[in-house]
Amino acid sequence: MSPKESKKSILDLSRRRALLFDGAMGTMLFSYGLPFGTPPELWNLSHPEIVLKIHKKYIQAGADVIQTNTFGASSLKLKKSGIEKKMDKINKTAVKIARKACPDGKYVAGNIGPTGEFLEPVGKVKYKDLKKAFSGQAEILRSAGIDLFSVETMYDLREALAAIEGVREVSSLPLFICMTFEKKSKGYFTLMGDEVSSSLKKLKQAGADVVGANCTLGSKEMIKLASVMKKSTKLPIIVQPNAGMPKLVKGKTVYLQKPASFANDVLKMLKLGVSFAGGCCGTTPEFIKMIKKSLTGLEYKPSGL
Amino acid sequence: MERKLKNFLEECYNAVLEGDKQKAEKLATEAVKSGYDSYLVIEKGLVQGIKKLGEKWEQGSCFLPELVLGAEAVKAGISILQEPILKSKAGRKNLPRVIIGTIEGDIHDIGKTLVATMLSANGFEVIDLGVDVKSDNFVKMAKKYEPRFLCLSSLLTTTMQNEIRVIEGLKKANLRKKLKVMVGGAPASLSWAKEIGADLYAENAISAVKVAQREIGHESKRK
Repeated sequence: MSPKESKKSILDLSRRRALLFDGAMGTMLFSYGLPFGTPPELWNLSHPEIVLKIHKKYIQAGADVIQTNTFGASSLKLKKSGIEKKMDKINKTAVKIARKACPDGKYVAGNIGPTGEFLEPVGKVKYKDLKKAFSGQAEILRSAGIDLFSVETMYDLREALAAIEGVREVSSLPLFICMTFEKKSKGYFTLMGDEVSSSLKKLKQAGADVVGANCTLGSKEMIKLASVMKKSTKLPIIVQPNAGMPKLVKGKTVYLQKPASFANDVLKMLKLGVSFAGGCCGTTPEFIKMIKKSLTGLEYKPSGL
Repeated sequence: MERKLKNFLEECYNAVLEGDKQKAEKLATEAVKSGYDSYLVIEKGLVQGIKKLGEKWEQGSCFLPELVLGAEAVKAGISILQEPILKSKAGRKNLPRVIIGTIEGDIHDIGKTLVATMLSANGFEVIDLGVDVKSDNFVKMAKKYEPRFLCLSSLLTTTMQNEIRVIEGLKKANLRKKLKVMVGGAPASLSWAKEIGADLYAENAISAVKVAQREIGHESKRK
């Protein structure tokens, strides 16, 4: 599939039916024994067979889009673990693994997460440094052969805009971007205080094709946010909630929500006009399977129609 | 309080609310020159500003940037105001000392640094050991600097088990009773603190300050 065709097809396809993203990668890697503290992206190199297995499980569960294991594979983020020299190899290998798991008619999204650095004046990095880090990662992902970009968990609108600009410097592939919002008494805000409506507007202006939210909120809490987002933009919307709120049991974080109730909440969001849905922390192939199951036979009215 | 001083303190308060570090520095310098009581300027001026920001943050009407910039302004002001205080031994003794770090195996620093900044903005002397701090190093530094509080931060659930090793290390070094261990970070909780034998738990940076101040209050009452 050429990039141009895929751009047309995934956005066009989403006008006909809801499309499913995969669930958590980190949660799955931990369940396969990834030691805490080890950057998950390193497993593209050391345990490619496990990353491949996880991708395949999500495809079997019914995901239309799988996301490369490159959430923390920007130069700035890898630098924190002192492995930025492996950036090229980590990203390339990640795409190769995902491609191997991805049959015709499904999509590989190049996944990009925040750098973990704060922009001036709160932190030390400059906008142009962020943009450079994102375009660097995006170029490797693009040339390795992805179908679209999925930028996630952005808690600072300015960093999100740097990501979009960075990606757009090197590619015109479909660009999905998720911010992460907390619920506050006055509505939904990012950690840095960015509010929903103006954030989505600026993301669109910067060149995003699909906008939405992931992480922080469980599926139940995200329903209200989905309706706020729907009112705020005409772009297609993506949601990737967590599997409920994390609980600490005997020193381990667990997500107690069951796939059926998660799927039920996701279904409500699709009915509100959300076009793409997947899962974030705590979700597994079971969650995606359950959404797929509950979608069967549903008459879907896509967003914006 | 005379009107002039009152206005001055209000200016300090506003400099913090506005996150204006330069203004805070300018006011602090002016305070030292004018011979104002440094403690008064810190407590009734700068710290009131950061308290207000903390309240607003808890209510969801201000966010991380305001909080960080406000805290930076307080810190900048305090460091100037402290110069005369620190020259006297008595003054130095009065600052409660805190050692803080993110636990071994965990490189998350945002929350930890925010706690360090807020504590320091509220008049604590903070020694920040950074991230991925070995258990032995916490013990070694606690021995060297004899802090009132040892703050352990964690974001990862498995590496947070290393906090147990720090507490065991403190016991072995006969330091356990000489300081209070405070834990925090997303997966931590009051029950986690109890489970591992820590003294205190703080949900966030604002609560860390409150918890530490409350503890100091208790200690001084006991004495």
